[in-house]
Parts: sequence; C-alpha cells; structure tokens
Amino acid sequence: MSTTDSAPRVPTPALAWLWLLIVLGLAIQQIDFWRHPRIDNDVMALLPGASDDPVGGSAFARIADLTTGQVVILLGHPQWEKARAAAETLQQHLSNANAPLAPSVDDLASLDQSLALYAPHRRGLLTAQQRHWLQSQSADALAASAIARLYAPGPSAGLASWQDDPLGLWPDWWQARLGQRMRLRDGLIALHDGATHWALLRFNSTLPPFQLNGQSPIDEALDLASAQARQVAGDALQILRAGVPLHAEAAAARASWEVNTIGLGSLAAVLLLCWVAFRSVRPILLIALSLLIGSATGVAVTALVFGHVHLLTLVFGASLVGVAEDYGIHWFASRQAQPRQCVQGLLRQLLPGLMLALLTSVIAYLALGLAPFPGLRQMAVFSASGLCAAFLTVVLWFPWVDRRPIAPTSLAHRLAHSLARWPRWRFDQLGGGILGLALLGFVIPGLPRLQSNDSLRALQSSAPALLQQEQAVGRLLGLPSPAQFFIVTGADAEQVREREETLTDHLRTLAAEAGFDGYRAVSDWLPSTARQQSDQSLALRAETASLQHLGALLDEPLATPSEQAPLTLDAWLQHPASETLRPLWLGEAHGKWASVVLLQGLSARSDLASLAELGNQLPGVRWVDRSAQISSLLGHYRQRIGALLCLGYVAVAVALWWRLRAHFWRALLPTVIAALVSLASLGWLGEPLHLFNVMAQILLLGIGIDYGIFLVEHRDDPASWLAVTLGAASTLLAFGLLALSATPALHAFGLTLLIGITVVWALSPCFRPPAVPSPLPPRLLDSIPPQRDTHAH
Amino acid sequence: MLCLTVGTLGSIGGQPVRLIVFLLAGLWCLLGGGLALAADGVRERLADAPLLRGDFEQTKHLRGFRNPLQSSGHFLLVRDQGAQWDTRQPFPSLTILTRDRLLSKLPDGQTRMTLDGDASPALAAINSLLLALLAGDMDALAEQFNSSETLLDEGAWTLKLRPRETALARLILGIELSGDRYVRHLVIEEHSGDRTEITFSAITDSPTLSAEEASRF
Repeated sequence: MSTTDSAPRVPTPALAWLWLLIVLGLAIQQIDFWRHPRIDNDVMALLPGASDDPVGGSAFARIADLTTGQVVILLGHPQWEKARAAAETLQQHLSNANAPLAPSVDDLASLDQSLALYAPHRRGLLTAQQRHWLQSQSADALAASAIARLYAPGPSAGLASWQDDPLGLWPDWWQARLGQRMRLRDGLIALHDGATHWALLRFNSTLPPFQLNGQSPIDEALDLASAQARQVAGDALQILRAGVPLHAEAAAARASWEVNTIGLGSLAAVLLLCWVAFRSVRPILLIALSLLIGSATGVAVTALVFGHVHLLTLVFGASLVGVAEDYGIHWFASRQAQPRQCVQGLLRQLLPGLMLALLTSVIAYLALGLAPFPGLRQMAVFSASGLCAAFLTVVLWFPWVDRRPIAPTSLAHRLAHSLARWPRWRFDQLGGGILGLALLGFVIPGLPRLQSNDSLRALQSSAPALLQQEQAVGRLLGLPSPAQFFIVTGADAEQVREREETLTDHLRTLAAEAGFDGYRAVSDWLPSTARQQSDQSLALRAETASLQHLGALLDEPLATPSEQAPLTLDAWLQHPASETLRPLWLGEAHGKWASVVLLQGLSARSDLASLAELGNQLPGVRWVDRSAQISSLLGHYRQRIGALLCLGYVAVAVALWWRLRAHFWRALLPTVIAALVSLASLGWLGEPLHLFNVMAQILLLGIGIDYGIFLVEHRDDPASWLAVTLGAASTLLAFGLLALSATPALHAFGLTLLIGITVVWALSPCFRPPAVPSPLPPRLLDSIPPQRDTHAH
Repeated sequence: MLCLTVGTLGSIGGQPVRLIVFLLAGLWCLLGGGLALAADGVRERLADAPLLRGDFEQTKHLRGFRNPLQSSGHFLLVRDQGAQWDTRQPFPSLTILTRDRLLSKLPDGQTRMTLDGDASPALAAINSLLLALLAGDMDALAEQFNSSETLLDEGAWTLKLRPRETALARLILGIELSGDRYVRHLVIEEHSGDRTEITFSAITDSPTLSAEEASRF
C-alpha cells in the first residue's frame, strides 16, 4: 500500500519518556509565564530595529517615549464657560482612587517650576523677532519704547517689575514658547479654534501596560465620565480623545477576541470533525493534547528566544491549530483503516510521509523569518516549534497510548471512498479542457489587477474612529509627527545647538511654503552659549539705556542691570521642567553628539522633498522619514522574497523529483495552480499586494504541497484521503477565521490560504497517479462487502 | 416700584397691619440702595456721553522708585470703541486702548503692540477694566466689584470698589472713583503696593470724532 522502500527506525520507549519530561518542564514554564505574561503590544516592535541606522532607530524610540502612557482629552464648546464646566466634571469623575487614569501634571505648579529654571538666565533668552527688533533699533529708540510702556495709563501687570524687564521681553518669550494657540485660563490649558473653545486635560494611565482579558477599563471609564460631562454642557459639547494607551487597549481587546475566536473556533472545529469521523473520545483527547502541547511549545520557545511574545504572534499562532492537527488525524485515519496492523508497523508506514510533510511545513514557516522583521521572525519561530512539538507528540506518544482500535464510521467510509470517484483531470477530455480554459480566464485578467501597497498600515488594526480622533487632536494641539524629523549631529553639545539654531532659522522661513506649522527643538528652550551671550549683550544695551534715560527723567539714580550667566546643558537636563523635551536630546554616542528636531503640522500636503533638500544642504543635519524608510523596506523585501518564492518552487520540484520520480509534477501542479488562483482572487477583490501576501504564498506552498505528497505516496489509499480531507477542512476553518482579523496583514494571510488551500484540496486528487491495476475485475471488487463495516462500535 | 406695591398692599389690610406694612415698606425703600443695582446714585449723577475729551494728569507711585512718575496730556474716550491716551509730558507717546488691543505709538514712528486680546486674557481683563473706569461704566464695574458709594452735595459723589473674584484681587486691592457729571479722579491701589492716580480736567463732549482720530482705533 505504501511506497516506502526502507523501513525507518521506530522510536524507542526511552524517547517517549524523554518527551514526557520535556512536556512536564514545558507545563511548569507555561504556568509561570501566564501568571506574569510578557506580552508585547507595540506595533513598532514588529518592525526592523536599529541595525541599519542606529542613530535614527534610537531617535525613533526616544520620540515614541515622549507620549507613551499619556491620554489627552479635549472638550470643546462654543462657549468657554460650558467647556470649562464640562472639563471639571470629567476630571471629578476620573479622580477617585480606582480610576484607570490619573491627572498628568499640575500645570500651574509646573509653570512656576519652569519660571524658576529660566528666570535667572532671562536676558540670554530672546525670540527671533525680539532679536531682530533689538538689533535694528538704536538704544535711544528702545529706551523711548520702554519708558512709554512704563507711563502707559492704568495699573501695570506682568511677570516682572519694570526695572527688571524694561522692554517687556520676558512675557513675550514665554508666550512664544507656549505657542500661538495655547494659554492658561482658569487653571486649565485652553485653545481657541475659530469657533470652538477647547479645554485640554492630560492623564497618565495607572494600569499595568498590558492586560489580555478583553476588557477596556480606560474606554469604559472615559465613556462614563464623558456622559456626565455631556449632561453638564449640553449637546454642543465635542469630546476628542487620543493617546497610546487607548490604541493599545483597543488592540488588546480586539486581539483577545481574535485569539479566542480563532483558537477556540479552530479547536472546536477540529474536535467536531474528529468526533464525526471517528466517533470516539480517544482521538479527540489525544489530538487535543497534541495541539495543546504544540501551542504551549510555540509560546515557550518564542518567549525564550525573543524575551517576550507579541500580540500579533499570538493571533497568528492561534491558526496553527488548523495545521498541527494533520499528524494526529493521519494517525487515527490510518488506525481506522487498518485495525489489525500493529502500531509499530503503522508508524513505519506513516513516518516518511509525515516527516516530509513536517519538513515542508517547517521550512515554509521558517522562510517567514527571512525578512528582518522581528514580528515575522516571532511568527516563524512560534509556528515551527509548535509544529515540531505536535509532530513529536504524535510520533512518540500515540503508539504507546493508543492501544484500542478505532471503529470505522459511515462518514469516514464515505469520505475515504470518495477518492475513487473523484474525477481525474484529463486534458484530452472536454470537461478538462473547459475547466482549464475557465481557470485561465480567471487567472490571466486577475493578475494584472494586483496593485502593490507597502504601507505600514498593514500592521495597524486600530478602528478608523480612533484614528480620526487622534488626527484631530494632533491638528488642534500642533503635535509633532513622530515619524519624520531632522537629526542634528555635532562634535560637542555646543555645536549641535548651534547647528540646530541654523536649521530652525531656515525652518522659520520655510514653514509656509513647505506646509508645516512649527517645530520643536531643544535649542528653542536652551539656546547655544554663544547665542545666549550675544542675546544678553543686546538686551543689556537696551535695558541699560532705558534705565539711564528714566533715571535722568526722574532725577534719581537707578541700578544698572547686571550680567547673568548662561543656562548650561547639565542644569537644564537635570531640572524637572525639561522633562517633556529631554527625549529630543540624544546625547553622546560613538564620539558624536546628536539631537532631534521635530516638525509640527506635517500633513500629506507637506513638501517633504524640500525638507530633505534642507537636510542635505546644512552640515550635520539629516532628514529622516521613518515611515517612508519602512515602506521601502517592506517593498524591497516583498520583491526579494517573491523571487525566493519562485526559487522555492524550483527547489521543491527537485526534492519531489528525487523522492517521487516521474510523478513529482502531480504533487506540485495543484499548488502552482492554487497560488495563481489565490493571487488572481486578490486582484479581483481589490486587495493590495504587500509583503504579507507573499509570505502567505510561502505558507501555501508548504502546506498545500503536503496534500499532493500524501496522495502520491499513499497511492489510492482511502485512509490517506480521509486524513487529507479532514486536515484540509480544519486548516480551511482556521485560516478562514484568521481572515476575520482586523489587522490587514493577518487578514491577507487568512484570505490567501483560504482560497489557496481550497483549490489545492480540490485539484490534488484530480492529478493523482493512475490507479494500480487490481488483480480482480472491477465488478467483483464492488460486490465484496467491505469487512470493516461489520465491526460493532 | 417695590415701595409702591407694598404701599398698595398696606392700604388693603386693616389699621394695625397697615402700620406695620408701611413701616416695613419705608425700611425697605431706605435699604433699597443696597439691594438694587450698585451705585444707583452715582449712575444717576453721571452724564451719559458717547464721547468725552479732556486733559489728564497721571501720577504713579511705584515700588523701587523714590520719586513718583508723573505724566500729563490729552485723552479721548469713545463709548463702545475705546480710548486714546495722548501723553505730552514728560515724553510724547500715543496709547490706543480698545477692548482687544493696547497699542503704543511713538513720535519716531515706532509702533508697539503691547497686548493682543487672544494672547493673554489676564492683560485683556485689565484693559477692559481700565476702559470701564475711564468711561464710568457702572454696569461693567458692578460685575467685577463690590461698590459702596457716598453721595455729596452739588451732584458730587465718591465710589469705592473692592474686587469680588480672587483672580482680580491678586492684582488690585481697591479702586476709588470720584466726580460729578464726569469721573474726575481715579485712584487704583495694586496688591504689589503700586498706586496710580489720574486726575481729569477740562472735560467736554465736543467736538465730535475727527476722521484722523477715528482711523487710529
């Protein structure tokens, strides 16, 4: 019945005991792992890191730190009073001890702190307009302006008395730092956006960074508090929320749902199929055991190799259930078909086919790790180790544990013998010709419709509503874009700041043309020492003249202003007031100093080319466009792995020829057709082609080829066909469920494999080798009742 | 009006009731000044002019200066638009106050915008307060201050203002106004110890706004 030419060694009992020990160790590790799950939720962790660009990579990571853990809420109303009342109500409702959010920073107190840091160095801190004004006017004119200010009608009000700051430079400098839009009002940060007054509230998340229980505590608390705020302020109130914890929570809740649906759904489907086919509890228990061990091994090995497991890996790994059950099902199908064969002999028959299937699947999964994407490498390691573990469980334990025979069932019998009635593809027949033409008609127009799209959005699963609010908040607050920025390098800290100042001088003139609102740079708050000193001499000139003139006017001597020391980098870095900007200062690495300049208000309409050009012109300044970098990386790997895939097909063809000789094409052709059909389907459906679709094709090659191999290895073996059918059904279900995922990359995996495996399963028997001629005439064969059916359950 | 109503009611009831009600009514009317809108007496005595011109003399006693700062010049006040403060001594400059802006112009052509309405609401509040004081706008002042008035002979009065809200109280301790048909004298005491005194004289309500003056606003 089988075509094995050499009997492999059957594993000894010692190996079974060894595996038991390993599994026990695994159980302990898993219990420990799930008590404190080291699960990662960050999309950025899936992307390649800093190997090619260490400064850019660390800059990117530092900028991400700027806002992690913070939730920003904007409440808007045409009347400020209502907005304020709503903000206070919201704050009140979130202020009890169990709330998942805690107010971020006391803005009034931090303002006092910041004043304390900068005030002693005030004279060296000027805005660009002030510098220009002080340079262009004579000392007498400036003094006249200062004195006019003093004699203005009514009470005086300001941050410093006139004698400390005759020209009123200090309040203007502060206002320029806070930005055009934001100011403190009634103890809240307020924004005015044309028609609406907005109140800004900032919170930090108090929960541990990750919870996989499917709940959204932050979301619920915010909904409750928002409802209360709406009661206070009426329907005209708008509430916008943004922040990394919201996305993380939504992603975790969605992923938790998906893992449960895909994992449990596939498991339930597999067990149901087993029940229907075998009508016995033992196969269900044993297959469930092999799947459990496989999944646990996947988690354990991934955690061991990478230190943590990413959420997306778990979702993808849930689909492994549909693939790893193949080995168990093959075992039980064969046991059912040959009840009198001893288990050792059965194992000897199955082992070559199972090992070849394992090999192709593991190689296909490991090929996912070819691209330097940590996310894909995690998925590769998870799946490969899970499959190996399931295989080992079947091969080492099932022969010892599964002692009693499995009674055949009518469904199993019908399915198994459907193989004989399955049509063969005969190119010379009309049916075959029509089918061939239909396939060509589907594939050939469909393939050119495929558009490639290498955007990073393939990994992003956030709901569009959340993304829209995030964008609206970013626009209102003028938040800088974290993916595009300038890196400024220099030989020491002073040179870096001087270069930054040159850059920001250019950026100010470029802002309107290039389509951005402003910038955020360390040198804005901490100018270079040279600049502080030159600014101070300008201010001193004007202030001395003002005080002298007034002294002459009033006929009393007034104290002349004294020199102030410039603010140093160390003092700035250590003070809590610099906390929000500290991530922009990259410090020293490899003998060079570096910092980051962020741009605010970048949009799709911005002229990024002119910014890149600016980066090329100025020494020590480099423009980094991280999302474009990653997109081009994704595209690059899509093409390379596409080429490798074609090579893979050639390699598989060679391997099959070596094993199967003349019939090798029968195993390969269904998979090739399935690959073309699935690609054409993507084209017809309008789905974009990206790296993950190509990865899915690799999986299709690895999994689909197994069916062909089994049908050729075990020629006309109904038990083999039964196993292939059951296996295909469970794989289809698992990947079909994966296609429901909200993450486009996983959706692409699921859809491609759903279509591909269906086609492979349907076409593989069409290409099976011609039947071995039987010694008995066909009619006699039909009249002999099958002996297996007479056994009672 | 309240007194009349109470009086009518008193005439309906019997003799003893009538007495009590009349007494209460009388008391009510006497106290009326405290319960009705603030500074009624002053409000009645002030002339309601859409435009006022005159001379001013400002004395500022500021901490850190031994001698007070004195300036004098002309002012122009236009209701609903703002004020123009034309300082002549010791130093010529023109300050334009409107609800949203405070602009300083120097004779050499320099223009300095000291505040922009959106940019800093604290200073904008001070600006609108100043305009209300100059114009004698009792309604606007009543919103922010508690007042107590003293009515004097020949139509003269003085008014003391204390800020209600703590935010304003942090800046201003109290304001004293005095005048007759127009506000003649203004003293602002600040929390920091500074004191500003402004005296107005030669106040008329003609001639009307010239084109050049209107363009300055």
